[in-house]
Amino acid sequence: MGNKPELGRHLIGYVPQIQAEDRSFPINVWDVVSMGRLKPDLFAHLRLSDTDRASIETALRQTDMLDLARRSINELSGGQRQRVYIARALVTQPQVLLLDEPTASVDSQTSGRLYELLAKLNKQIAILLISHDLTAISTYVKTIGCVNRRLVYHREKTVTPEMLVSGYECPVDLIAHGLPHRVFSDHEGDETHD
Amino acid sequence: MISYLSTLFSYAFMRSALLAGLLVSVACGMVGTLVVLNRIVFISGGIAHAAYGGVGLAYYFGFDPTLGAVLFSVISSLAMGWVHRKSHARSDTIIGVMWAIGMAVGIIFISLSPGYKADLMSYLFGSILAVSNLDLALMLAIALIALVFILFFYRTLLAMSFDESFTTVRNLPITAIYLGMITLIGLTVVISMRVVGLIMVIALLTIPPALANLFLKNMKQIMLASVAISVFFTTVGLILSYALNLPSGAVIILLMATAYVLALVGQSLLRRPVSQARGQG
Repeated sequence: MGNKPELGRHLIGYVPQIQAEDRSFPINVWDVVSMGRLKPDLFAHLRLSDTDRASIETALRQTDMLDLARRSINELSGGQRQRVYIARALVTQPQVLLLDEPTASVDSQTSGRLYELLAKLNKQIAILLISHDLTAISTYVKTIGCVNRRLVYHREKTVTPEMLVSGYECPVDLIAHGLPHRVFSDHEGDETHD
Repeated sequence: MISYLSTLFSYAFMRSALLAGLLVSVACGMVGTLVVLNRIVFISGGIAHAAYGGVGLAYYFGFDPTLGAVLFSVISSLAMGWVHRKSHARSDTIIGVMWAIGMAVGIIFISLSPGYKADLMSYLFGSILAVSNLDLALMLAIALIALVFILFFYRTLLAMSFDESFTTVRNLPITAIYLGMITLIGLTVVISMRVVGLIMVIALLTIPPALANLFLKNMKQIMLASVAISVFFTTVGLILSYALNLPSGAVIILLMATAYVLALVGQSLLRRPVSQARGQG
């Protein structure tokens, strides 16, 4: 975007990686999501406006968390907390949703449901998600960019051995057991997608 | 019992002491909740001890020690808050050093000042029975400042305490709010010193919110409960210390700490079967 980070921040809805340490904080789901409605003008928000409330409710409904709005954040599972953070990012009305390792601390079933949610949201908003798991990338992901000091953007959704090599900067084997969703290899004669 | 209490409160110094306990509890309960939830207990301890430098300076130059304490605690709270926010590595070491510098300055200036220093101990261990009207006015002012600040910036303070990086990404003026909060802690420390002394200030700030947080899961409720807990223990502690002829600050803190430890033990005993059941399910 070529601007100072401060100027572009309102365009991005940041969803942090969930951490164990904030589990003990005394706060409920509604209050966490309502943080997304805070604006730089400090004197603008003594209480929530009706627009704020409506926006929070919509985001909670979109993420299926409305029923748990009064629940303390400590009582939620990893996947539920991830949904709360997504809802909080949504109420900031961003143009891009930026997720940092959304499935890092949830089981595969939960992460499947999380990706379904993201796919649903993706109809209205661009989503950029960061993952360190090179061996498993959701079927919902449309394009891939690999970062290892330099960014290599691949205009498609398959992981090729070349991509892994350029990502890891060393040759690696793809590990897959049981019934993998997709295995990609043998791209002989393929062009590199730099 | 009733007649004993009514005799007790017929003394003007006792009424002043109770009023002081009430005002300090209002400030301490709310500000202490922020201290506990922001995990800056160490900074608060540092501010309290650094304030001693101001007391020493006031003795030496012959101005009011409370004024000296206000001066030093505000300066040290801003310095410590700034260090804590700007340099993440080793900030605890630097704060520890500032803590010691304040104490050292105080001790040296006091030893340099001539004459008998009768009320020096009161800054270390508190003397709620000797509060002046000026002290009460200062307590009222600071309790009101705390109330207004927290009411006004409640949502931002809550957001900052819960997830500072989110508030930064949202471009909220977090540095200003943080420095405001830390200054408020400095001011609260000074008035709390009159009640329990600078050595035990941390306990007065942190025990009531920690106790409330065992049972409540909402910052607003924790603040209100902390004020109530603090009012209760300062009042009971005051009466008990008078009846038993013991130092009031130490009695108040010991009562609070006992309640906290009992609650902690009681809760962990009650919790155990639940967490086991959850672990199996």
